[in-house]
Amino acid sequence: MKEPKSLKILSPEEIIIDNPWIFWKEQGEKKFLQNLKKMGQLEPVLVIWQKENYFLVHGYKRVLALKKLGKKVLALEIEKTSPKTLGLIYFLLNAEKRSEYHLVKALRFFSAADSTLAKEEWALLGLNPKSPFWDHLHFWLTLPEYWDDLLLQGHLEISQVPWLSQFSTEELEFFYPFWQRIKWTKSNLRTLLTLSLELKAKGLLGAQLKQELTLFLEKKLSPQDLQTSLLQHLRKLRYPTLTLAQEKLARYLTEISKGSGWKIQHPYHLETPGLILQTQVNNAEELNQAIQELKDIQKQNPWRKWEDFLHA
Amino acid sequence: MPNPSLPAYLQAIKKVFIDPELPSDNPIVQRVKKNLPTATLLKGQDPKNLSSSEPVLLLKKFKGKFLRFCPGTRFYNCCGYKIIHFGENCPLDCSYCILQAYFQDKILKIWGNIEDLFLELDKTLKANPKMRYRTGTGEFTDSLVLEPLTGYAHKLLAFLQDYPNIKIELKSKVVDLSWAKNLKRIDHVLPAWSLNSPKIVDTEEKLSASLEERLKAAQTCVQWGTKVALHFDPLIYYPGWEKGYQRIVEMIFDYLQAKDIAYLSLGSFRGMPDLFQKIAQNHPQSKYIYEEYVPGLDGKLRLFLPLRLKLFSFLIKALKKGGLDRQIYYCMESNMVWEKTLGYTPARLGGLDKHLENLAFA
Ligand code: SF4
Repeated sequence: MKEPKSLKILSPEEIIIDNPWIFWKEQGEKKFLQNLKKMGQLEPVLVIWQKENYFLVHGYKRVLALKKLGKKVLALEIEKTSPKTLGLIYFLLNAEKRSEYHLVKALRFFSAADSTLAKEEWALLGLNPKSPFWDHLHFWLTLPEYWDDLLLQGHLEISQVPWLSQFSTEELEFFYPFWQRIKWTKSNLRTLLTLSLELKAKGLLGAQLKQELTLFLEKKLSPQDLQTSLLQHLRKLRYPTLTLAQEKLARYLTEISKGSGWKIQHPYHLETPGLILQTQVNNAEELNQAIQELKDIQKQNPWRKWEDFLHA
Repeated sequence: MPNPSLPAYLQAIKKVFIDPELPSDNPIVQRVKKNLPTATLLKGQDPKNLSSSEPVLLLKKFKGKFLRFCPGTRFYNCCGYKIIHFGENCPLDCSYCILQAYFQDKILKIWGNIEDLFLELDKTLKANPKMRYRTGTGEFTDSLVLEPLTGYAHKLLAFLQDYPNIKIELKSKVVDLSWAKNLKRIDHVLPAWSLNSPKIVDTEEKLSASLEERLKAAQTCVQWGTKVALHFDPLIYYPGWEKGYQRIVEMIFDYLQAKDIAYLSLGSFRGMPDLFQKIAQNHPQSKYIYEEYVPGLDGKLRLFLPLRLKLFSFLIKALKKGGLDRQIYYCMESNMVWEKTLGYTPARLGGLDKHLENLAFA
């Protein structure tokens, strides 16, 4: 940390605030403004004096708010130093912001300038250059900057990089709107990535499939419906025989239990002929009825056509 | 210079780690030293500290049980084979090899204390003289891949010549018949080869012997008077599989007659999900893992049953045409699969383990 030089009272206009080392620019919310109005500025912002100007180092939100309130800014001038060190100072003074989005924004700054950090400096940022997380962050930096908003909105996470990194740049651009438009549930997103990569490995992630998937986006479906129908489509392509057999079997089992309160399920991928029969009863009368319905199901013998499902 | 007659994958071994508990006159250690004279011998060091993935061999004193039951599961019919555990891992690097997910490292290991193995076998075989032991060494490694270096199989078979109640299956994808040298009898041996479609051998095996070489070696063994075993494990579903498996079945009968084959197993490719991940990582060119695999009752991923039945029925038809019948069995399949493709279940054969035992000792 550089030695403080002196405290100053400056007008907000005298301070240049859009500096590259302020990589987490945030507007103060209403409450912040009210507090500042009520309590006054209790802590000075940090500035440097360089080329006949004051440049802000830390206190972006406060300078903006004080400007709005028409107040002067209490600033502590510190010794001027390299942009990299200013970035480190800024990072450490705002250390509570440690989301993946914030880290990526910081790394974009450090990897852009003359800012190769030494091992100890990475440690100050809480990062270990030998960790997989480090590699994942660095993959993310190869994506265009507008992708960072997906992290901010929680639509993607750095932990998904091992999957994302297996797509080509062009494929990632193709999927971008699918991730931008809606927030996928974690498990659906994982399924989407896995199925897409497996289809890619099979040589099926080509122009035709992309066109088919784009149609889903154009349909203006609800987020839930979009996820469900898209995944169903991919699954059909990835597991054509399985999905066909499962659909056929599900139709058959529904038919057999039609009109009854029983639900028949087969969760075993035909590996065994096992079926699960379920119903709910609330009293003796309903139980009698359920038994009667079960007898009807038994008469139809759900396994009668089992053989048909075993042919690919 | 390493012994120039060694295959390249054995000549590539530049470091041999030797367990200090093995005496320096240990026959396995001696034999390896002779065949790899330029390899660095490291006594008492731990190969786990190696940073690179260079091929190394560890000669170890094994303290566990050498004779074990095959790790089958209760949901599928297991063949009841007993494993003679003499080492781990294999340099052939087949893409589908289950060992890559089974063991934590790729270090080739051989249990150097062969005399302890002999003691255990002697004790077990003599304690139960009426019991017949159908055993094999090809579970945690290929039975013969390190034979040119260690001579292990030869020593084992020489030792077991005087025990009437054991049959040792040597399951391999290489051709090395040196185990038969100077034995007074070889009817306690069941030489066995794993076979596959020529396309799978080309793309997924790479370092194994050609199918012709394997079948020719099997033919030689038959000429010596033994039967052989054949294994289609794993059968792999891929575009054009019919043509490939038809071809290998034809090849079998170009070299062998049905009566020469003690038994032949069929097992479709299967494994826990982490095996699939390992294959994707270690063998990115291998695409068969992206066929329709679903979790089976034991948690392993298996080819979706209707496709498996198609594959099995096709093979069975072709094999039966060649004259095979009750010698065909499944490795880890349900009664339903047996019934649908063969028309009976292992129970009809008196239990699979008994049936195979009878075939092996016939
Ligand atoms: S020969 Fe067998 S043990 Fe060796 S790599 Fe191939 S599958 Fe694995």
